[in-house]
Amino acid sequence: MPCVGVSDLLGSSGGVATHDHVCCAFDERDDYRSQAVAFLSEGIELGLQVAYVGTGTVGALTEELTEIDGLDELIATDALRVMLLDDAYGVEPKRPVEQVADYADATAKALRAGFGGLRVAADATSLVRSSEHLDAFARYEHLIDRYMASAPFSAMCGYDRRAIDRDALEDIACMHPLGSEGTSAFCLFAVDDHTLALRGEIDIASQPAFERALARVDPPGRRNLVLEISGLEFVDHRGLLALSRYASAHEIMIVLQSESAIVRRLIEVLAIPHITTAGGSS
Amino acid sequence: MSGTLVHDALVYGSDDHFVDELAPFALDGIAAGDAVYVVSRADNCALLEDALGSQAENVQYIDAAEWYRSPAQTIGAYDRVIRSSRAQGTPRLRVIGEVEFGTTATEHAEWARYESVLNHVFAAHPAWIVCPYDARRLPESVVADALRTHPHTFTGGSRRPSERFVDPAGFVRSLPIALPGELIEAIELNGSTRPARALVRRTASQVDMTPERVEEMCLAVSELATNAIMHAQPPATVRAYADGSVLVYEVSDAGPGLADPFAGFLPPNPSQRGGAGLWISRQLADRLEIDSTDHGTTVRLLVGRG
Repeated sequence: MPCVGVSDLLGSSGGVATHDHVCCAFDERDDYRSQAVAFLSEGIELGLQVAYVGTGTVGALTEELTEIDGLDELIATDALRVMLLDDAYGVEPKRPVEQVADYADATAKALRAGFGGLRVAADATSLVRSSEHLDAFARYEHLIDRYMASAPFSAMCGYDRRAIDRDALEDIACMHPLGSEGTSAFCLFAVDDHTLALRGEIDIASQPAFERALARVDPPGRRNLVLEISGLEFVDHRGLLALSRYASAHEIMIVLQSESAIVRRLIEVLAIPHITTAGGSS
Repeated sequence: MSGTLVHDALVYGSDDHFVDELAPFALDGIAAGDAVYVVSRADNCALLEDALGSQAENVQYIDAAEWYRSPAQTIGAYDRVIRSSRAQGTPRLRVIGEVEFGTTATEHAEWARYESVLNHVFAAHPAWIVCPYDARRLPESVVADALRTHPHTFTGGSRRPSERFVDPAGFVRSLPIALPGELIEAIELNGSTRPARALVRRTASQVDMTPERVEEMCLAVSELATNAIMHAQPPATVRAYADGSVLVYEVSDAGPGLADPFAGFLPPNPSQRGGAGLWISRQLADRLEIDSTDHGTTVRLLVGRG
């Protein structure tokens, strides 16, 4: 199955404005490659510096981009960079915050060089092969998502379904606001400095992944966490209790932004602590 | 009545009898600092309000038609009142609760069961509930059941043990929901509850439901389906039956069955993990019945008035 086309994704935001942090789970490398080319081409049009990151050799990776008009010129002027994964992310799992800091530095450099920002397409398959890598990288995916919500940085993350088991892919995909459909039943992403959004369905099937995701996400602020759930199609009581435990563990209140009467009713019927609701997002 | 439930029946035959017994009961409660509630028909609320005079404003009056919508919802409402009075520092509750028994034999049996279940559900709460039974209006069988579902009677300000009282575990029984009309749809669950929600959305139009009600039924059926998947062996099935005015969702499994006759009637502890699915479904359904044997459990959830 090819990953969902970027043009289809932009605009499928479920009520919340989302930034371009796209998960592209692919079965054929060429599906990812053509999506990445489209994503980077759009970035070039927008005046962004773009980077194509992968494994193998720089030469082979550059070959994959031949469809892009004026490729040599773009490379010569540093508008397009081709990088090896190990150079961009390191061989050992990096601390998630350090990886985000690296991209923040790179984004600042792009801005200083006169670009509108930085856009990256990276095949990150090999970064999540071990469970240690997976955990660090899932945390990183969330932190970079939070960074992207407010900075001129955007990314497409490619993952080869054939090399990653389903649960691991779900753990990674759910941290992306875009492109996680069909890979994860829900996604948890950043809206701004103190707001996260939850979209999709939380039920018996997605509950384990939801709990793993919560364990990898620290609340963005010290006090209340606003959770926008206008795109949450279903949540059962176990899902809300998981949020309640999360709030309790972090000593915060979760304020659910939603018009949904059923979520309010469920909180009332069970007297679930640490969660309140506030009608509709502004 | 320090830390346990007191649940008395009062059979009365006139307005004066009602007021003479219950106005002093309410006044004693006010004097003791209890939170005092009167849940009754509008005319009986007015009678008491008159009789309480200047103390009338220290009592909360609730319309019985609103309070007694379904047994499970009434238990849920009691649970919220108990929690909020505990939060306000008046943990002792004194209630005059005049049950609306409805008109059909099924409704009578359901509310009699409710009266019995109450003894068990709130056994550990500091509440004194007196349930007035109007001998002028209620069928004899309903009044007779009052003595089987209340450990004591309340007369002349004093309490006497009811010799006919039946232990709730012995009184509570399943009150089968008949399957209406035709089988509309049946599905087998395969680890996911999503097909159960899709079934509800496809079949909801069989009866008149608001979009919010459809979402409530999606949740209720989904919670039942989750239980069937988690606690039982496959196959778990969901079926929908309808006859135009009534819709029944049936969730069946082949598990070891439910031993607890009060399953889903007890407010779950918010901090405990899981185990609240039946409570939620009972709160949302118009009726819900469990038929459990060693070979499996069938839960029927009724939407509409059957």
